Amino acid sequence: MKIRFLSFACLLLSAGPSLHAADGPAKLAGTWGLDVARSTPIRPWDKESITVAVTGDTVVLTRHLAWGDDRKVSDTTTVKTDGKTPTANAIGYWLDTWYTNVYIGGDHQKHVKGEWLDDGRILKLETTLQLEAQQGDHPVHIYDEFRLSADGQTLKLYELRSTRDEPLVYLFTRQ
Amino acid sequence: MKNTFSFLISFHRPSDLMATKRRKDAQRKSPNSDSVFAFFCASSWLKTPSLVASAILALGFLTPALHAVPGVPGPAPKEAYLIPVKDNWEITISDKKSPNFGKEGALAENLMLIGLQGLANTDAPRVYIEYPETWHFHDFNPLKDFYISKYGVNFTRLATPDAALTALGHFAKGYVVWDRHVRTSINVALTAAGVLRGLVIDESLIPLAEKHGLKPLADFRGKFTGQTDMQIYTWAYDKYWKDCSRDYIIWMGGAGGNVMEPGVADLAIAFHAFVTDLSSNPKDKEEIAFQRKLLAQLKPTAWIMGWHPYSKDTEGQWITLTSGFGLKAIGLNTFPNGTFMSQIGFSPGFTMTNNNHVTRQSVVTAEKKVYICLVQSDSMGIGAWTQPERGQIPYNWEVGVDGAQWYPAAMEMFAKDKSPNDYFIGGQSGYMYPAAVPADRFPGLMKEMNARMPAMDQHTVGIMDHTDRGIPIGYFDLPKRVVDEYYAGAPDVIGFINGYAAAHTFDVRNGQAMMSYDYYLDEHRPVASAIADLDELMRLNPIRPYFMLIHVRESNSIKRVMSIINGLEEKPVLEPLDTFLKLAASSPTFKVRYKDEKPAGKAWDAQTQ
Repeated sequence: MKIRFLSFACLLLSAGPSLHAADGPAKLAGTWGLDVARSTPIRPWDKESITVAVTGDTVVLTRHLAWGDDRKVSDTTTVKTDGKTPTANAIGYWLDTWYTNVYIGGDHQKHVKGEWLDDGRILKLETTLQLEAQQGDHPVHIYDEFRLSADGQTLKLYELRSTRDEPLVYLFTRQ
Repeated sequence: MKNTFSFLISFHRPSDLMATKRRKDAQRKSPNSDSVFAFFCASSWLKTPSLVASAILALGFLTPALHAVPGVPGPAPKEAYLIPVKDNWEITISDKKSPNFGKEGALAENLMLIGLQGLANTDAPRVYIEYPETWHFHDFNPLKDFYISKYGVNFTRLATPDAALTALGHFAKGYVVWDRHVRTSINVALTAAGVLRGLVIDESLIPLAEKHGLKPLADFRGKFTGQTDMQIYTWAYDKYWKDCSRDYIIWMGGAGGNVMEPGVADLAIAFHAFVTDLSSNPKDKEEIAFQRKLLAQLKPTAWIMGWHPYSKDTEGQWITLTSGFGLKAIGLNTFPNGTFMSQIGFSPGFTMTNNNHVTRQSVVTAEKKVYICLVQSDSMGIGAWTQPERGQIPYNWEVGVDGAQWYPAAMEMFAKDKSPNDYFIGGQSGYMYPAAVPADRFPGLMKEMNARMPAMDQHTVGIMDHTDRGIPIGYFDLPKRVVDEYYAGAPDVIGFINGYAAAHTFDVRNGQAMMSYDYYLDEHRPVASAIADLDELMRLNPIRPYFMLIHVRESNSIKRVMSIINGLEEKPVLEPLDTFLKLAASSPTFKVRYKDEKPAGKAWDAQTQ
């Protein structure tokens, strides 16, 4: 019985597109387009995509936002996935809630730690930065989880921001 | 979009004094008396030398009378004509489901009637166009009834184009034909019609025009086939510019292609204005150069009326360019009945009043609360004024300073209908970006603003600058030099507000606060997200009092705004703008900031492309 069960499990692992610890992180690599209709609103941006590049224990996420024909902007986040080393990323503008009077404050950098969870199916990021609002700088913590679907074609981003009670959920599909 | 529905006419120009006299003369005449007057002059002027001299003098008055009478408010006429236009603005019907698909749209007929209004209203308010309910300036729909009930105007309806030409055809000296296959020929035809005093028609309307005795003055069918806009406008410039106004120019932009919404066509013809839709997009170098050539020849006090073409450029590109010449714009191309509204002042005995709560000298004390101030820009004409919820919460309306001159009855109608919770905001005359205005022109703008605000009982100033549109965030901020100019130029106002989208320009000097919008309420933002945005702002600004200025985009309903405010976690106090600014000045918990001087380096270049 035990042998039969183990064989069945091995069969499942080898037949399906599910993830192994070794290739899990690499599965996130590629370009992902946001399904705007099924995501937390990103207006005024019309389009968003994320390109994920994985090299060893370094992940580079490049986000592209576009609004109409003439407004395009990108930001890049580089992170070590050892779970402990913060990486400082230069950042010019706060793009996430365009409607608010919120700018990047402090040293104009965000400090990001990352690690893989669940055998590389989930990329967890923890970001700290200073946002500047009307009254000055305010420390903000952002928790992100990028979760890959079983078929590897969908990427969900769950985001919690210390200043916002509304969880943000973004659904990307592989491009 | 930003429109202020504001015009500038210097009160000191001699031509205005003459216009006032002409107005008084014109007001004494019935709508049909002009031709009789003209006939008298023509038939008697050769009889004696003294009559010749008199006739020459009379002609001297008549010739300038063709210019710029609209914009000089006077008494209302007892009689006027009402002409309906159709709810279709296409050259050719494009709805494939329509049985008339591919046939002529109503633009040609509508344009003819609006142009006829311009001819007839050149020296008196004779014609009011009845726009469909769907017209962009829907807040102006009740205005016709206000002219009837408050001013006693008796409108005679001219229900068909034939009836309109029967009553008013004598104001045209002939007709000008545009080419249905070359859209830009419409703008040339409008220019020609203003100069030549012609009826603007397409070929389908020629029989109607000729039925009323009109002969061709210009015919552009086939004239511009295959030509670019630059070639067409260059031809129009060579032909008509010398006879066009230097006080006004018309930008017949807005919708493009098969559609045109020519609400300002009456003003174009009444003013003898050059009509164009040249691009301000940097990629259109030739059109920009040509536009500069035109603007440079206008008077410093001139006005650009209409709107930029959506298909060619952006509002920011256009206004940045025009502001660089110190010229102000009035929007939109759909602005209706300008020649009628601007010739009728406030009703006798009416004085414009605001709901003032404080004065420049008032002393107020802010409590440790969140104060919210709701401002609707673009307010009068296209906003939420006519909604039943108005008056339930404090709402602030940017109305500009020019309404008393250009749409006095509309201002009176709005003002008489105001609730105790409605507050009117002023600002500089017209629409322009202060950071782009040449420094030597700025003091004059402030002087003009200060002169006009008392007549509107306005005591707060709205500012918007959009010159740095290429930057994704922060492009509504003001450089310190511009803030300095406002403080120097307007020491007696209660305070200033800045922005359109959110911005972080804040200051306080001598009891005058300058506050930027902390939030831009997009009409498409889900209520839950808007509430989360505002709650987050309150967390990012933990000190109390916190002063949150919100720009309510005009398409938001007041009901929706109330639902958002009611959903906030921390209950705010809603204040009218004058009180809000005094409270902010009394306890400035905000950080004084101006537009960032962009430093070199990766940190700031990381995101912009």
